[in-house]
Amino acid sequence: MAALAAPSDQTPEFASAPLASGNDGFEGAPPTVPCTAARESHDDTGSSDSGSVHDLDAPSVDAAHFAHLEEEAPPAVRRTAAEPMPPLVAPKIEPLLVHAEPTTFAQVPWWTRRRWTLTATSGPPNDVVAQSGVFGSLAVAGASIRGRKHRLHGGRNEDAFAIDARRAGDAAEERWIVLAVCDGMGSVPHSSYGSRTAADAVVAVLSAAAEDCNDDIDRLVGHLDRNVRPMLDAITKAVQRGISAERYEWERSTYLPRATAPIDELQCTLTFAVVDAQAPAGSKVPAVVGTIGDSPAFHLFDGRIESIEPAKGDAGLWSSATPGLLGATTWTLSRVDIHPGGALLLTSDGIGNFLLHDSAPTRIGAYLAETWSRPVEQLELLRDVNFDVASADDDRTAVIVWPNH
Amino acid sequence: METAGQEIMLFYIVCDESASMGMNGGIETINTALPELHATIVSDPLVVDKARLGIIAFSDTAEVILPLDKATNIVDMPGVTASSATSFGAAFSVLRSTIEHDVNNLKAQGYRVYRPCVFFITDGEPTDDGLWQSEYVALTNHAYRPHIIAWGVDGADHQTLLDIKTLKAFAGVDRASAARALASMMKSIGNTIVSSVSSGGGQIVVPEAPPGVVDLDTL
Repeated sequence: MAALAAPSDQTPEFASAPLASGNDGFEGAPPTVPCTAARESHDDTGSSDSGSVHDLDAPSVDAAHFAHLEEEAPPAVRRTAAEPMPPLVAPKIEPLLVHAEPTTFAQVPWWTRRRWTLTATSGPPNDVVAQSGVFGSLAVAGASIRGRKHRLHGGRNEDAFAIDARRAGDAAEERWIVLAVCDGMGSVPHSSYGSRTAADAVVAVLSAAAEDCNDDIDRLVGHLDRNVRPMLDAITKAVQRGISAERYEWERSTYLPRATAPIDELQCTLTFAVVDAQAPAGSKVPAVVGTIGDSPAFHLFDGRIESIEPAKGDAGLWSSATPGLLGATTWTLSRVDIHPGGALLLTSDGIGNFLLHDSAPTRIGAYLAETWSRPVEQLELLRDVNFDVASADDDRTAVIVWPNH
Repeated sequence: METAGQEIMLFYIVCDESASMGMNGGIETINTALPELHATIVSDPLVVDKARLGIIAFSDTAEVILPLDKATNIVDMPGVTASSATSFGAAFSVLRSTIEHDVNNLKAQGYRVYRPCVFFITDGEPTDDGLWQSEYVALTNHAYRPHIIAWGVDGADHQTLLDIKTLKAFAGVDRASAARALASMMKSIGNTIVSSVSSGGGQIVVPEAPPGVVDLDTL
């Protein structure tokens, strides 16, 4: 394994010389081929015959680099070239059945001729939208899936979420992270477009505000409180500009609202959070949560799940009537300190409505309070978001912030 | 609690089975249409999981002929039988006590119950005029007061239908073809259940007037 010994001190120029003369197939080839030259440079024999591009047995630089890993590999994974690789077997991602029996919808695979899952007839259905990343000391993941009622009738996912983070000046890491969940109102025709553009506008407007309040969460809360009207105006105008912008005709004819569409046709809810991404490890993480409408936010800690806004009452009859973001003049702000071993969870009501009942966790609420109190892999998050509970047929979105992981 | 937090929509069909309904073909039409309506709602997985259907028949008295249930639990749809008078008061009274019982029962199981929706079908004038109004007020003042869509054929008085509806009132355009109008109405009721459950949020998707039927708000 001489070739795997210490790197040679040969220069690329020296090493490249044999290429032109010692290999018939490369006679007259360009004098420098960087990758081959590098390989030659590790041949400590100094012989021009010992390492050519045709010498498949000669170890490569990469092989040398990873040789120690091969040495440490358990014998069970070593195979000769003659041995066939076993077929790949991945564990199946099982659906998350919350109750003993699957719901009617879940009893039939989506691909059957029952046609219980149809693609959207206009525009992208956004069956699955997912994102995850680390910002400062925070781990953040979001997932949104198209609800059963939209799958059944070929509608689009009307939820949207956005995540944005800004650095202060030339700082190495993000100072604040801004999250938004918007749930398009099902009763209006272009709510999926409205929620998407509104979520983007919200994080842009709030990120700019956070930049102005660099060091103090309470200063930021005061700023959000005092400037609610201009900020909401800016968000509504951004959405309006989006629909009145010049577009191709095919865009309008497929999934965009007409340029003169009133804002009510794009109405959606809003729940946002601005979270301190530089809180010291082990300390509580300051955050502010704002809401317009009924997209619930929760604090998960110690296996518990607490609604940040007072949950809708379960006395009397249930109602889904809710105010909308576009054209609103105020929002409700709540200060939250996220426990170091906990999480902040923003949801659309397709998830949030099913986590608590009479202030106590439901079966799925108790499961998620435990499971989502620590960061989860993206596929696991999607599996969890796709839980099976009767009547939970709306679009579902969850965005989770975990501090200090 | 297994069902805690689940949302549920309740639909009631309140059906006139007075003697006149036998004479104009209404009874036969309804008995043919009810299994078809059941087939419509049982084929929709969202309706099965989220809706419950009950049926009340009334003449001089009223009775629950199909207790509120999930579509897949209903093996045989009941039928109506031509009887005597047309007591709206009996219908509203039984409707109120039935809704109160059903909603309380479901809430005790942890369900979140949306405001119920009633499809009220009649072919004539109430025979208990002056009495039914107090039962109607008791129903519509109740905490669980339902949405009411009124459907009238044959001799149903338009103003009475408008008085009892809370969402919409419809009437057959041609008194002579009551059975045909009633068949259209029953199809429309099935579609309304499916559309309302699909639209989400507990809102009732008010139907357009089906063929042979007129929306009384447009007259």
